[in-house]
Amino acid sequence: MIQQNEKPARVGNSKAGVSQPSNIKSLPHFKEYENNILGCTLRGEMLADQWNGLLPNDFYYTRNQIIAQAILQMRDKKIPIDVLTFTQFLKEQNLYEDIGGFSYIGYLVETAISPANSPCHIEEVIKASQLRQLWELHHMGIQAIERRANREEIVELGNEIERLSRPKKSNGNIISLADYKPQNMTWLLEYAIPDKFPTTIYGDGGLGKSYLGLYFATLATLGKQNFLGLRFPEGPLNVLYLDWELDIDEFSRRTLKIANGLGLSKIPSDLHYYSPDKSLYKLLPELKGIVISKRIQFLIFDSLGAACVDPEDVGDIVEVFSQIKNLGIATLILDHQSKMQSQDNYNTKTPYGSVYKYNLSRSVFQLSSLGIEGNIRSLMLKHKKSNFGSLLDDLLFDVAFEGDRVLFYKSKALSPEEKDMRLIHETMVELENKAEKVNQKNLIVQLKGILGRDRVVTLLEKGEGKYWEKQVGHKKENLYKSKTLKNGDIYNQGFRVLENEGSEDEINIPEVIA
Amino acid sequence: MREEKKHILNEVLRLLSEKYPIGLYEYLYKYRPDLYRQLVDLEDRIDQAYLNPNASIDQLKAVLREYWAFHMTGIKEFKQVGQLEMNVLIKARKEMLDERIRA
Repeated sequence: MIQQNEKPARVGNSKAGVSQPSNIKSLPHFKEYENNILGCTLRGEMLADQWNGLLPNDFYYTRNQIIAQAILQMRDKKIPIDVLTFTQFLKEQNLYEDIGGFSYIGYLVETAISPANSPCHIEEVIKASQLRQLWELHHMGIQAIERRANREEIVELGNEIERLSRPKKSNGNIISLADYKPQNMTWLLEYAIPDKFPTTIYGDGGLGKSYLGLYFATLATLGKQNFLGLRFPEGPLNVLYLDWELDIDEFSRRTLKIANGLGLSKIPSDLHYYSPDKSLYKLLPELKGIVISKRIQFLIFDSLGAACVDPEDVGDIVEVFSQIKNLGIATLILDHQSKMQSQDNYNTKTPYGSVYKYNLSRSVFQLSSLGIEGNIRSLMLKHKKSNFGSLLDDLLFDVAFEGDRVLFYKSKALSPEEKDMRLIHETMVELENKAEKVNQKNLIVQLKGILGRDRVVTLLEKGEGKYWEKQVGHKKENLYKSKTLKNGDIYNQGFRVLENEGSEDEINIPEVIA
Repeated sequence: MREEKKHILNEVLRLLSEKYPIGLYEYLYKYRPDLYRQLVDLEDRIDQAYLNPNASIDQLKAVLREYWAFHMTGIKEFKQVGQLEMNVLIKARKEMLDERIRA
């Protein structure tokens, strides 16, 4: 019975052709090693902490993957592992029957030999897992050549093979940095969404996070696009949108509106949708397979909160982010923040739950609303964290909901920072008109109760050159002189013209109408 | 006055045509509809200032200055965004003309 129930986990994920079944039998795996690792762990002779980077999807057999996943979950929840608690845990998760019941657990426990050589067994299981993935990719590569796929697709497969062939860092391999040749940093969205690392966009509910995620997904599938001047890759990408919030109908309607807004008559074929019927945590073991088999290059999670990941459970969050990073592709996680309380400041809010959501994201943006006018919503993305470079300036954009289309474009709204700069500028003009000294101290006094001291000091540095000039007075005191702003520095109400970006010189009115 | 208005308008349109990048109006129509509406509004105001005998030369010049500034800032943004794909441009042009004919 045991033999009948055993299924190689990768059969369903493979895109191999007619010859697949005969080849599958020869895919590398180590049944005895896998069983020994699991059996010894269940007997309490070995800890899951000793697995040394071994992940559930490294196991060959589906039931072993489920057992490994459950063991890691119990470890993260600090539940002691023995046969009885494990059996109970599986029953609670409705997985008991899936793995073949107690007969299979008993089989593992009885046939396990010893944990003495487990490091070697673990290494072999991981190596076999990598070889299977390479086999799948090679097979896909051959198929792509046979059906004369385009060059980009073949190159992409080659890159993936090259990436998998490199030593696996999480495998405990210690590498001499002198011998390691790092690859160039790559981006999905220039300086905003790094390739191969998780990025998070969080904010209040109902702001338009899903629309924004969908807009990014659509732009990525088109290639050669940009968002407020930040570029997406030249080539079109294969994108998967994992949705726990809506359904396929609403998602399609929204996507079509965005496509219409971009001047497209239909939704790009490289944009895929999947609405999992299980939590992200349960989906993780098969996610890598989905990504590889569908050749996904950009993955969006909407949303982490709705994906039923316990936001407060550090173990869950660390595991989820670790596995998302291990996917090795660009990922965008949409997430919520806690509800505003009366004394809260929106800007200081972080994603709801564990701090590791923020800490383990390599790039983090907070989405906020700047206002709504009719069917146009002005939004701002504030770059809160970047591990790979300096933070971007605030990204301000409008989303116009126009019947059957949704348009995104650069906003003419002022950011909170620009509004505050205007306030300081107005105060400077007032002081100048009263012939009073325009220094930091007087400005702070004038703006007391409106802007805090630190805010004034920071903005005085930032606005120099654009809104005012700084001069050094007696006793090296900084004095400010307001600059004359044409129409409040917006030359034409339609376009948001910044300093040196649309000055009168550049507009250069012809003499005939001057 | 009519002749002077004609000279001013023609001169501005000639100078603008030297700077106009192909696809600007299509871009505005497709991706910046608010600005496109502003452009149409400006054109209406120019028509009124030009055709209405009671509108002064200064009034025409004022609206032409706005029209000029609009184009310069629009051209700058359009250059940053890049050219439209040919199929998008043709489609947008057709829709835009249809809309104008309907109006």
